[in-house]
Amino acid sequence: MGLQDAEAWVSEWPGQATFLSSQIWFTMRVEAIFAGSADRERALRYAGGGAAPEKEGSDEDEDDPSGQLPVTGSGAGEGDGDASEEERAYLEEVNRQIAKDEVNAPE
Amino acid sequence: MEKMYQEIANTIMLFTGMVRKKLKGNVRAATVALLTGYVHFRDILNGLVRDRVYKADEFKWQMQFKFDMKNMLEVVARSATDTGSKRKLETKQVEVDCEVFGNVRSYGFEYLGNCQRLVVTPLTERCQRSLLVALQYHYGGAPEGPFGTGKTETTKDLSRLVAKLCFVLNSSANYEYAGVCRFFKGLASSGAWVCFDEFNRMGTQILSLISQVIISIQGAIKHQASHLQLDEAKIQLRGDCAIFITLNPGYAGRSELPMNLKTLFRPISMVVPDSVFITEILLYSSGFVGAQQLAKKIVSVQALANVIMNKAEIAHDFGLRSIKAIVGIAENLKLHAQNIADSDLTEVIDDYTLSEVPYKTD
Repeated sequence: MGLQDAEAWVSEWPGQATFLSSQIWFTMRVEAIFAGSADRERALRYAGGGAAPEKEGSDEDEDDPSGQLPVTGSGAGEGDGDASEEERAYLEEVNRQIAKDEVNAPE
Repeated sequence: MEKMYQEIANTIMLFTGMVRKKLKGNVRAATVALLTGYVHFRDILNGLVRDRVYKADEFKWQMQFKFDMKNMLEVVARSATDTGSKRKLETKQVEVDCEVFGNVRSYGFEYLGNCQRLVVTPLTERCQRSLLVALQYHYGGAPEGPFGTGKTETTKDLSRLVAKLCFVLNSSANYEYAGVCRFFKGLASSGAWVCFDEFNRMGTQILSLISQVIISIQGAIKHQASHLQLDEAKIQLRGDCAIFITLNPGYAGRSELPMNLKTLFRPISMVVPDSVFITEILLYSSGFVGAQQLAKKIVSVQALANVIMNKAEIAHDFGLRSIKAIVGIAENLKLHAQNIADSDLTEVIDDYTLSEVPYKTD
């Protein structure tokens, strides 16, 4: 939880205060991440980089905007990459089978 | 963001562990509310990453409820310098804003206690967002839909979110103009919120009269007036008061809203809620381990019971209300007998449902 133990935090403060502070904390954290991302983009632009922000962000560890999270929700994180890789593997398998059939086919 | 996600996931685990232990009533209530909130944070982060949101001005982030403490640095500095008895902060010194789509609403700092929070689903979120935006344009909110879709609960939860006192009134055909007008006077001068449940239960005549009062209040708020003339009395006006109504269109004994009243409220359609998701979160916050499977089972049983009982012409609500009651009983049972198995929920369902359903003995 950071500065204070969660159990102590909940028991020492009124429920309404802990709920509100958690909401403020969440907003601040996410906006700080966005601000960090924007700062990096700006710095790169001044430095003459000028590359697309998605690519720059992917090098960073914490504020990585394109980073994939562990899947928890329904249908969350279903990447297109897996599907296309499977498709490619299937097509390769079919081509291999066709080539084998052609070789084995009677003249 | 991945680090933050992990942090939130760890906190959820921490709270789940806390909920399973024996806690004081108020600590348990606060923990359950926080757990519900953190599950929502996790879902928001999941959505942000899935949609590759990396700027604060993107729609997916703008649509979220954002809380901002405007004078945080000042407050922190003051609390650090003040010592002893002076250290206690007054709420007037702290300014918190709730923002959605650029529409800002001040946090009301009304003491509401350790109340239970509504499980946030896309439906409730959409409704609350629309209500808050409607308030910004000086309209009221009118969630409408069949019973058991959470119209009133969603409105109440929004009031808890921005810490405003919200009165829920069950509208009746017997309401008199004088009584309702007195109520509106109190509402306008105190800055509270009101939600008229089943508003179209009132007769058309009284609805017409009420519409005049609401027009006066909303007009005064729009023009930022400090006082308001209502029914030959001049009262002080607080601009943060709000009026909501819920409607059951097409039901027997309901009257059609007059057109001048309809235009004062922003209509929001409510549909059938995601019962499985809500039950899962309820079970999760009650300390059940296999919440996902149990939720599916409970909802299936309730849906089946609904079909069978409808055929047998037995009137009983097998919706979220009864599910909430079942989870509440199960939670109590779990607290008092720590070794209760998840499968014992079937007994709870039996006990609750059989005691509620009237049956013939012939």
